[in-house]
Amino acid sequence: MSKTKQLGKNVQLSGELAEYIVSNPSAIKKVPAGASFVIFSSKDEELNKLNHKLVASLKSEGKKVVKAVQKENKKQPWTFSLAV
Amino acid sequence: MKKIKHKIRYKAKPIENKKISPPSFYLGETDRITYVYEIDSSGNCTKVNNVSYEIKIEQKWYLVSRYDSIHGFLHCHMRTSTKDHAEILLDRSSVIKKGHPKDWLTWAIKDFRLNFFEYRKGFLKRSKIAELY
Repeated sequence: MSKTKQLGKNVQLSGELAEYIVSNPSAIKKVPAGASFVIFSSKDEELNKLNHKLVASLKSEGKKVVKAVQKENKKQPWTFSLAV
Repeated sequence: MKKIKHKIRYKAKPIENKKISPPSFYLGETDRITYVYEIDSSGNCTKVNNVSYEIKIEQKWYLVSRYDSIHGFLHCHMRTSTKDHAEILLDRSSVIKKGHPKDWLTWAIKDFRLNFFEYRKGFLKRSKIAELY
């Protein structure tokens, strides 16, 4: 997958996540301040592979990274975890 | 029992909106989107402080375009180029006018989803930089 395609897919997913957070502000209550989101799709493993590399790259810059993972669950469509 | 002669009046505490600033969304190593907005005590969006798209060129982050509703309506600013800090204010006719701040925030999110590559291409072109990838 090209980097341009990765950008395009990530912008779509980030839009979905942003809309979810707007409707559910408490969803990110436990997310630490100053962190950065990297999004993971529920279906696109090729994208997820590239995003794992993105996480590693951001962590090497000293950034706190939170993985936002898309789920098939309608009640909780996103889960968040701190990338270790 | 003594009667209370004077009513004690308490000054009501002004309801302060809460600023929501989720983490920046990294789209790639050189691209990120940030959302900052305010909500009231019921969780309703009351202001779009900043919805911005930035790009990293040679280790420096540049704002490409951003939305805010600080003046009471949603509008879009675009940075001229990497060398020119001046912001271009986009014509309001292409931006949502009706609705509430939550609608404006949702609209700005959708606009970036649809037009992200155009903003990126435009900024790189004005900065006379070939595509990064």
